[in-house]
Amino acid sequence: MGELEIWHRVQAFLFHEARLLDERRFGEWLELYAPDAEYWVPYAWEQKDPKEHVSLFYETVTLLRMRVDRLENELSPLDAPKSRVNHFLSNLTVEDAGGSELVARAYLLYCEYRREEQRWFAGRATWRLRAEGKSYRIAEKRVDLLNADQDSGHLRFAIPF
Amino acid sequence: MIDLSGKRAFVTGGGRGIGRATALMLAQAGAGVAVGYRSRRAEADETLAGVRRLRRPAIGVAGDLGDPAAAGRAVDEAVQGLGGLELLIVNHGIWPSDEVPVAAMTDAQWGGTLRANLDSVLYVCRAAIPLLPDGGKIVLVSSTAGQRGEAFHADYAATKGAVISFTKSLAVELAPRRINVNCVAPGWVDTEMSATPFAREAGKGKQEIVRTIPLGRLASYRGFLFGSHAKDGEDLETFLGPEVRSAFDNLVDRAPDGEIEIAGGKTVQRYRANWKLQLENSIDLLHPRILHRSAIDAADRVEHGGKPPSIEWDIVRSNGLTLREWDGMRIAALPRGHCWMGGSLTRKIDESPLQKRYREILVRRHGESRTDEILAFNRHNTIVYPNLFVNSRVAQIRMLQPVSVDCTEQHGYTFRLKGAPEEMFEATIRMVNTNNSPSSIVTSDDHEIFERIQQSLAGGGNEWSDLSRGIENESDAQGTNELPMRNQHRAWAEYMNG
Repeated sequence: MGELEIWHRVQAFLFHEARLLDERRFGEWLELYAPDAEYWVPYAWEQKDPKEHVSLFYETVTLLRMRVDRLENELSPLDAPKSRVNHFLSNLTVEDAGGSELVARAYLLYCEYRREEQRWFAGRATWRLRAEGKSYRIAEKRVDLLNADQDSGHLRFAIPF
Repeated sequence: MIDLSGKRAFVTGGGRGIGRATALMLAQAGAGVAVGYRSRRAEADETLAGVRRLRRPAIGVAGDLGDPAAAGRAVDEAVQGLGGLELLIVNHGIWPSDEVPVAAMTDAQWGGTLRANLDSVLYVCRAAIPLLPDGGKIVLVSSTAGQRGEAFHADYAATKGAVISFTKSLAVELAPRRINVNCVAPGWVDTEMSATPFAREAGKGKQEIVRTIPLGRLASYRGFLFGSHAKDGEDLETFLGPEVRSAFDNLVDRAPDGEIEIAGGKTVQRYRANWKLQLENSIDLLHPRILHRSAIDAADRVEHGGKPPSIEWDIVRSNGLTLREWDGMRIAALPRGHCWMGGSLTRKIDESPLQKRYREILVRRHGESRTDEILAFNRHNTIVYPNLFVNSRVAQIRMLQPVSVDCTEQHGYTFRLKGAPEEMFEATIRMVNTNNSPSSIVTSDDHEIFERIQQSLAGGGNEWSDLSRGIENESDAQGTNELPMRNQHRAWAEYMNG
């Protein structure tokens, strides 16, 4: 497979991931993740280690499943009314990471509307992808928000980045 | 402490006061120190003896720094005596204690203060700059008088203001050589310079001066520093009382080495609601099962596959005790608005290999019975009214900072227990990620509700918030009784009524 074709295939995969989140198809979204996957949004800029420092998100698939399970539950005050989000991806690069793995990097813009408030977050997203048949599984996703460590902190992230 | 081993420092005016304290602290950090003084040899010798007791090189350098030649000689002697110089602390200065209006300022006083406090700063820096290596440090000591002026001491204030702009100029000049030039501006410090004004009005002068400092008092308990705006009042231990003190004790005692360190960063959550709502929420045992229903249900649907559940799972699931279980939980409403609630975590995590390893370390230090005592302390929140939550079991402290009547910041801190397995600290971090971070599937719901309550109260439809649950049974309150909330508001009413 040529470089351009791989790039194209990864882009289609990541657009698909974004769409599943935006359309609240959380069950399908989670299926994109390998059972041993880690989902990480650091709290510190250029954070080296998720174990030594608090994170905005640092979740196993079990914790992610609890998160999305809850979003599908009518009883979550955080999600009533429901958040509407768009994930915008751009500046995608893809590198071979050896084995059957790829590393994809993109700029992420995340827009959320809820309760009369529209919030924007910008960040750099990195995925470690494992080839599986004609598609991929996410082994690791990391999103570094530009304002991760802002002094006034953060509040209420419902739908993952 | 910062490590300055092998560095060499020259502290001007190092014979007494702030200069002596600086010299000794530099020595503690490992630096050799040259102590500058003008004429009081005996005092400088005392500082030098202190530096030598710490087994650091120490030399005394005498000289009137207002004289350019003498200042040059002093710098040379310091550099030669220590064999080099990386740190220069320009600390010397005078404060003429008589109150003199500008209209009556004599040329002699003006000239004398400028010479001692400003000319000398130039002379010392001018001589030292060529001798400092790239990457060296210069600290100049100004004064709060240099920032905001000081009536009837315009000569002093003018020199100290000049030191601030001198610092800013020099910092840019020396930036290419990576020499940091900084300035500190102390307020009133109890040194000989302050002796005259402190002694005024038959000793009342000090009281008058202290009255101008907004922070009334500082005190510490187990290494935690507390400030009070009230100058007078009961001491810290009395204010905390035995049951709140025990929460701090337990937080520290859980560390095998008897020491904890703040680590792992800090979480901040700013929300648009009054601070009192979170204080009520954090002792409210009725809400978890209802408000956190969606997270509890999600936890219940997790398949553990025969493996023990993670501590993150446990902390989410613990909200789902039955109403009967919540109602059986111990709570305490304490004097001054403080309170605590019993622990809600299941004991399953205590059986993990990590917990067993940790327990063995504690037993080696303290023996079985003391270890059992430390680990038996089973509380969730201990609330220090009006703004502090201590949780020793998960090594966490949260603090509320009201920003305005309808906006609050929650600051969360985590602690490493010295001497405990590193995985204990990692577990604390994981619990905070799951339970207290901005993405938490637990506290996000609380913050959402605080904002809705705030909006609802602002709507004006409800004159009262009803906190009367259990009011008929205050002497024997437990579980979902809202006594601790009433206790908070009673304390608030008392504070507000003076």
